Amino acid sequence: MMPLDFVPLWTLILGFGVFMYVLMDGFDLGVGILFRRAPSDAARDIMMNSVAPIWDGNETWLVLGGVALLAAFPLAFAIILPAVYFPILIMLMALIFRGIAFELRFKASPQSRHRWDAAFHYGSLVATLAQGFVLGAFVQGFRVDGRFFTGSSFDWLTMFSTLTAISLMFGYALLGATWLIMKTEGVLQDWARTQARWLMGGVLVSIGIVSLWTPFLEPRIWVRWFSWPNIALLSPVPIVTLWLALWVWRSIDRRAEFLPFLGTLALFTMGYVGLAISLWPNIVPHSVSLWDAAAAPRSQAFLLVGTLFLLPVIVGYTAWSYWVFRGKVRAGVSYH
Amino acid sequence: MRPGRQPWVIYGLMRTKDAVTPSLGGSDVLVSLIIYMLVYLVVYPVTLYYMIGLVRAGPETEEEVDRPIEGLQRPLPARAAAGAGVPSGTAIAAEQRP
Repeated sequence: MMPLDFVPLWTLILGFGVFMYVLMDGFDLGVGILFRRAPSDAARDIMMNSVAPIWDGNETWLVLGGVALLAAFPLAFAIILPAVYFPILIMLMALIFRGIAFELRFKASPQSRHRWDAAFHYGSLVATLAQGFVLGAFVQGFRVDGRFFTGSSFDWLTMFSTLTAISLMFGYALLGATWLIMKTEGVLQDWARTQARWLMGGVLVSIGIVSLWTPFLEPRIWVRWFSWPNIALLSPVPIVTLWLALWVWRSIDRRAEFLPFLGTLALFTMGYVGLAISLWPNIVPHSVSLWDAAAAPRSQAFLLVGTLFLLPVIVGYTAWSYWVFRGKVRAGVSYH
Repeated sequence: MRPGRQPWVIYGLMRTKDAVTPSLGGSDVLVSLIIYMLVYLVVYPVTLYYMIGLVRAGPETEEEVDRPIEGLQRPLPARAAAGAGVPSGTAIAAEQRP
C-alpha cells in the first residue's frame, strides 16, 4: 500500500494557523500601535477594552503555528528559528510587556497609568517590527548547508527586512484603525477614519516597494511571476489587490462601519497569497521544500489525530468569543 | 550522586553537545540570557507590587463588582441563584433555626 502523503494537509494547517495569527493578532497589535496617538485617555480606555476580551485568544495561533512547524516540519524549524533567534526573542519580550499592560493598566494609579500606556504601545510596536524583520528574513532566504543554518545571528537585519518591518507596521496599524471604525463610535471613530486614510497610503507605498523588490531577490521568484503564461495567469493578484485598496478607501469615505475592516482583511489575504505564490513549494525559502522538511509520515499522521480534534475546538471558541463581544464598545463597560 | 539526564539531551540517543545550534555563538546566548533576566527582574517585582496592593485593599463589595459585558448590565438574581445551589433540606433547616 502507498503511504499517505500528509504534507499537503500539514501545509494547509500551518498556513491557516500563521494566517489566522497575522489577521487576528494583527489588528490588536495595530490598536496598540495607534494607542499613544489616541485623542484622549477615555479613548484609550475604549481602545484597550475593544481588544481586551480577545487578544490572548488571538495569540493562540502563534503557539499553534510554532508547534506545527516544530512537529510537522522539524527541519524547517531547525533552520529558520536559529536564523531569526533575536527577532523572535525580542518579539516575545515585547509581547510580555504588552500582555501585562492589559492587566495592570486598569489597576495602576492615575499617575502611573502612562507607564502602562507606554508598555502597551511600545510592546505592540516592537513585537510588530520584530515580526516584520522575521518576514523579511524569511522572504530573502537563509544561508543553508545541508541541514543547518550557516549564517550569522544578524543576517535578518537588511534593507529589505527593514522595509518589510515598516510595511507590517503600516499594515497592522491599518487593521487596528479599521477595527476601531467597526467597534467604536463618535469622536474616536472619526479619529480612526482619519488614521485609516493615511495608513492606507503608507501600506500602498511600502507594500508596493516590497512587491517590486521581491522578484529581484531570487531568480526563481522572477520566473514564477514574469514567465509566460504565469504573467497572464497571475496578473489578477496585483489587480485585485489594488482594487481592494481602492474599495477600502471608498468604504471609509462612505462612512461604512464593517467594510473597511473586512476589506483590509481581504487585502492581507491577497498579500499572503502573493507570498505563497512566490515561495511555493519551499518552506525554507529558496533551499528546502515542504516535502524535504517534513517529519516522517507516521509522525505527521500521529500529530494529525490530535490536531484535527483541536482545530475545530479553537475555531469554535474563537468564533463564539467574537460573537459574545460583538457590537460597539462603550465607555464604562469593561471586561476587567 | 546520580548525574541526572546529562550528558544526554535525548536519553541514550543524542548528546547535548551534538544538539547545540551551530550558528549560535556563546555571546548570543549570553545576551539573550541577560535579556530574559532583565525582563524577569522588571516584571516580577512590579506584578508583586500590584498584587500586594490588591491584597491590602481587600475584597470588593458587591456593588463595586463590574458587570463584565453589556449583556450582563442588568443585575443578576444573585440570591435566588445562590439559594438554588443549596440542597433544599439544608435551606429549610437554616430557616427553621431560631
